[in-house]
Amino acid sequence: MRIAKFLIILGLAFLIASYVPAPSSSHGNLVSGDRYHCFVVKVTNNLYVDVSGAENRNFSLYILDYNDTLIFLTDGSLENTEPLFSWENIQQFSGVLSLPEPGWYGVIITSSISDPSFNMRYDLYLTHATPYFTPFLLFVLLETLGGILLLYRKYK
Amino acid sequence: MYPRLKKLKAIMELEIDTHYSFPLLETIVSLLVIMSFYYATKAGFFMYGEIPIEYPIPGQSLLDLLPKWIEMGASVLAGRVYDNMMVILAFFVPVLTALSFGRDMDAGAFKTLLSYPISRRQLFMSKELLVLATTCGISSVSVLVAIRTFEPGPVHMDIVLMGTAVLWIPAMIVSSITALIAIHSRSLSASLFGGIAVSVGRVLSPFLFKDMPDMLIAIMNPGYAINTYLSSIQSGEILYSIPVGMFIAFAIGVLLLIVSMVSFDRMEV
Repeated sequence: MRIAKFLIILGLAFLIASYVPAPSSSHGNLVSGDRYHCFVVKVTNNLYVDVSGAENRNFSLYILDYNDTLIFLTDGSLENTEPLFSWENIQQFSGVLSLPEPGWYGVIITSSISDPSFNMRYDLYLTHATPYFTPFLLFVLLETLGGILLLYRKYK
Repeated sequence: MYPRLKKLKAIMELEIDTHYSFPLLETIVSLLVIMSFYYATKAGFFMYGEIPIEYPIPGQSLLDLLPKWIEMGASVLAGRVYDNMMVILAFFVPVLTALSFGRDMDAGAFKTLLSYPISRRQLFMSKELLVLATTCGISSVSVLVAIRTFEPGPVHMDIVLMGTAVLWIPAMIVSSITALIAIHSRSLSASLFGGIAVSVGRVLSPFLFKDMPDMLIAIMNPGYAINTYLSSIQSGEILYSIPVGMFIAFAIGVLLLIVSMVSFDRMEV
């Protein structure tokens, strides 16, 4: 009986672990019309992104995979890249991005107006989206195993 | 060999029922799992805060930095998590050892235990193994799961070795010293406070004595030494002194374990 209780409590610990809030990265920056701001982030599961342009000004947001991020950093433009997600000419974006696999990704922000003298302020907030997959999977597995053991002992 | 293992298992089960009664063991294990993920989440995220953000960067330093950063990512994450977990274990290891040895001394339970067909060495080893498995074993596994969660890709052998060195060696030293104090003082409170004092002193020593040689830091607090190497200095001298210091710490740990086992053997009940 103790082992069943142990598995159930351990499973609950993994459930709490899967919801441990990740620290966030918050940036408020000015980007000029001819420049890009690139944030290279490590994503393990899903990424929560919240960007808004100040004073109702529009911006474009692109999400690149690691290889395209390297191409972007080499070329300085998005010409030879295929963004995984792109939103152009928007004032605000907020959502959880389901990325194809864990790894490093580039979050690129640029102003919608390509005038070098034009400065646009934006606020960016990035964080990991919860729950994390591995501990949540362990929670489900341990609870199932603990539950089965508990029922088996009870009816035996 | 098999009957001996069976006997060891039986003593451990008895030990779990007496000193780790429900829900003490479950609480400790759950706390260690949650803390591993808490530290891994923090360390896993902070990495991208440190990357330069604006393009173009003079000299394209991000292009040079990124592959190196990714290569070192798992080691840096593991170093930070292991270091933090070592601080948590600095509390749990002496407390559990003191409870396991000191409480039996206080209550006179050793007379009963030694009336069973078991040797003193088997009793000592089962108590020590349980303390180390509950603290370091659980922490090692949960930290590895946490690293796999936040740093996808193969877990290299160096990370496993790092965890072994940072978690197991200091725990072995502190646990042996706490057991020795319990054996000689025959008191729960003396072993509890003595063990915690040794453990906390070991963790804090590099912070208290800033001019301490690198090798001594690696002996006293391997997590601190590894983190210093990984995050800032990375000089050849420090890299050389870390494994040597850890090997010396391991030798000290084994020696202390043998000394406490011999003391336990000779102890009058």
